Amino acid sequence: MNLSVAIYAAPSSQTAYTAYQFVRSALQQGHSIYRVFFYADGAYQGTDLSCIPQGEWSLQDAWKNLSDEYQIDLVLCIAASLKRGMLNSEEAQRYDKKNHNVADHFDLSGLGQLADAAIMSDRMITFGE
Amino acid sequence: MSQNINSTIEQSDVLGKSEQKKIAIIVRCAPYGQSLAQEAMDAILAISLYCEHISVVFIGDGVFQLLANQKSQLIDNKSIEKQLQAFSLYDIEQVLICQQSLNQRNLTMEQLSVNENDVKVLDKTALNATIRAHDSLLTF
Repeated sequence: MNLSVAIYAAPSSQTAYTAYQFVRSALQQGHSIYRVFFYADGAYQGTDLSCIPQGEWSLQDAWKNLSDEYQIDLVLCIAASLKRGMLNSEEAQRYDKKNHNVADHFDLSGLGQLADAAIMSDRMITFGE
Repeated sequence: MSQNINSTIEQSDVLGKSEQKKIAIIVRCAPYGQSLAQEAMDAILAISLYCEHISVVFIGDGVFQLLANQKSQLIDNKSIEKQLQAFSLYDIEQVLICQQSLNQRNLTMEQLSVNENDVKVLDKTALNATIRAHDSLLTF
């Protein structure tokens, strides 16, 4: 089955971890993931500036590894991200900000990508706050 | 990967609005108190640009979004009520409201900002059947 996942939960929430586990299990069982769309506080999962203490598990690294292994599309909602101070170099330039902080593997894109995922996938699964 | 995204966007542009898929957007969150309700509104309006058949379903605390006379300016928030009024401009096919959710919160249609002719108030069984007729669900 072709699945997409929308995640609104911040990385500090168990829900965000559950979403990751769901995606990993789906891929391991042979399903394909059309897109993972990070919306609302879910956008924080794309920050390059979080420093996870040694011995703690990094959700972002887990997403990156999954993306490398299965080539999944990790999209941060651009509106949600900008609001929360999550910018890539292009947006930093556009809004005249000195820094940018979106990690590799994550792309900023519009809500159209959420609509597209809902239209193109067999199932859309939401992981809320 | 960004190439994939660009090609999808172009594809959507070429195809225009999707006419095949029916999407139901289920709103369960209260209008204020967290930013999810506002972000749900943004998503609903964005998705309505891409998809022809959209239903918005208000259940649980989501029915509070429908209350009339919201004074969101007192908490420096954008009014959800005003944005709901724009639904008719955005081709939202149907607006469904859960009867039990209204009852549980002691709300009547007279207290809501929506016109009785523009919405369907359904009990849980009818609502489930209607939701099941959609291809894809998005929940807020």
